[in-house]
Amino acid sequence: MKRRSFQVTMVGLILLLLLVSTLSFSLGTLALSPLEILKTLIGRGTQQQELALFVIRLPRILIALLVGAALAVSGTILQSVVDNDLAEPGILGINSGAALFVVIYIYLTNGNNYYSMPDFTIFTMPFIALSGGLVAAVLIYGLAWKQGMNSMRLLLMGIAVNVAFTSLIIIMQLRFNNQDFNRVLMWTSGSLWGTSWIYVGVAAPVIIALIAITIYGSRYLDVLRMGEMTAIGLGVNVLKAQRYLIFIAVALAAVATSVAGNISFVGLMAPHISRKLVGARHQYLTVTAMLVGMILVVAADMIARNLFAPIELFIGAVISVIGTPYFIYLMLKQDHYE
Amino acid sequence: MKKQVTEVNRTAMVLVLCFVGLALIFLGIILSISYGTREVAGIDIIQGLFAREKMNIEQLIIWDYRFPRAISAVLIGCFLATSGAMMQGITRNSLASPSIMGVNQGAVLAMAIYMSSQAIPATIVRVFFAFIGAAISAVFIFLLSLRRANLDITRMLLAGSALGALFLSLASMVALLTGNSKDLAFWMAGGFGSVNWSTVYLLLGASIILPFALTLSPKIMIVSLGDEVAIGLGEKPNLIRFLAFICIVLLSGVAISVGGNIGFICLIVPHIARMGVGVDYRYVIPISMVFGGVLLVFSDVIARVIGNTGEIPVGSITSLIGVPVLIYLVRREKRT
Repeated sequence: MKRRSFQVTMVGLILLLLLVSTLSFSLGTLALSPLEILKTLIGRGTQQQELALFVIRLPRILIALLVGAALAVSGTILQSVVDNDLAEPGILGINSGAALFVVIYIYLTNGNNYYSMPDFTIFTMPFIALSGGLVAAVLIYGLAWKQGMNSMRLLLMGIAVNVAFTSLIIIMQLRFNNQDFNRVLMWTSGSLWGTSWIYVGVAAPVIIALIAITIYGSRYLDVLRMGEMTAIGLGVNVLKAQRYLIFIAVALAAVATSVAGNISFVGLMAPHISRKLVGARHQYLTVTAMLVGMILVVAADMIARNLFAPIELFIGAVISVIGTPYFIYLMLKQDHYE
Repeated sequence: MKKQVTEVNRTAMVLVLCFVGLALIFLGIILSISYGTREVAGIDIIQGLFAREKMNIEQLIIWDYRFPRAISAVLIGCFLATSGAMMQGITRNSLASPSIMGVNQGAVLAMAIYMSSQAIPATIVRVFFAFIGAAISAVFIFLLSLRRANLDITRMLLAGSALGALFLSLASMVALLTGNSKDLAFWMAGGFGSVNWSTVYLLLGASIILPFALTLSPKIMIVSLGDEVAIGLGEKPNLIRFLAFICIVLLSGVAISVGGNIGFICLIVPHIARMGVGVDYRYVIPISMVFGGVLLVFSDVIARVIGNTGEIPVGSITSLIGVPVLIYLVRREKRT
């Protein structure tokens, strides 16, 4: 992969991202033309336009960008560390572990009333999610360990743990109020409904810092991808590097889940598409995957909001409509090579 | 001579297991009838079941709600376990089961579509839609197993469970769009909320499939020994697979259309049966029938005991029981 063509790809992806984001800004109950968006941004829009843009759509799109980036980078790390293209935080059950802990936390601190959630709860949510994600990761890793690690066994354990966590979430869900039910359903299905600036403030610093660390550590990912023996030969402490990177991947997925619920398949598709675009070097791959993930989530959120407006779909469901065939296709192809 | 002895032992084992299973079913039904928000005395149970004229509210509760519910739990458990045992036989793998491979979820999606388009959904049409949904997933798995004879079960499981997740999220999308998501969500998780006497008759009618499944079981036994053996013995393995798939679709379809998405019964029960009588599907299938009923009727009681006032979906209970079994089976698998 030449540096030049990487730059071209980046420019293309950034333009696409801008296009999708602008579309997402303009579509909605109150339609805004690109010109009106610009006007509003420099403070010359009507009050209604300002409300739609600054209070509702801008934080929501920022969250979509953050969540997309976090899930995509998490998937990139996991695929390299586990050395299997099917690995992904959603399929491995990390997201549902995080979601379960958050739902229990909300239930314990807030009773069965979801709407009047205090800021303190929102601020502490990412940490609760992180502990849930870590519990899930340790559980899956421990269960799949049998005189060594096998990526297929890891995936199957992920599916099993995922089912268990989802059942527990359903049991918890039915304990919430009827009116809050749809809101709580977002933890299993993924949704950006009701996001506000406070969520952006909570998620942005953590996600940006973690992605920066990942990009800095790209070389480790490259080396790990070459296989354990090569990595040891090159002087990498494989187990330590693996654990450290898995921790970052879990943290990214958990924080994303704490603001957006359980969204699968972004972490699967984004790295794979990016590998087709820029090759397997993580110096390029991580950034590209991040952009692709952002595009996917912003586009999916736009579809979820507008396709059947005023009813909003779950973004997780929208993504899995594309993601499932992609997953099955990847799997059959992988089978072919072996 | 020795072989004959083991054969006799096994027949005795099968009979004992069947007897124990039936006794447990009887116990489960009694428990299921007597437990609930309203305590019911023993005399009311007998009167509720046999008295021609229902005198008091307890007797009505028993006849109209608890008894149909207990019967449905037994029959649905029996259907699900049978379909699981058949699928494990024809795919020659102890991990295969309709609930993991997306068959149940396909049925749920098709029914969600039908039920949300109708103001007053008819039970019979609902069953029909469940068949279609189950058949779509089953055909997908069938084709996958035909096209790649050596496709290992791990990948088939991954494909099936991804498909199942997709169907469930589509079903919740349909429910959301039509504004009855809490009703359908409960139903997607599996439960006996919609059970009444007409669904019991439906289930009883569908029991005709069970003798067919039993007649097919020696053939499934032969297929489970491998295609070469089956062909050598003059059987047509793909024809048997096809017939078994029809049985599986019908059994899971009916069960899901009444009880919703109840998973893992079809995985656990055949496994328990194999522990008792070995891998001979002539015995595994009937034993699964009996113990499927046992497991589900007790799961229903557990769901009601734990849930207390707010009921827990029985599907969540069976999943929580089933996941450790799945984990154990995956760890045992040599190929993964």
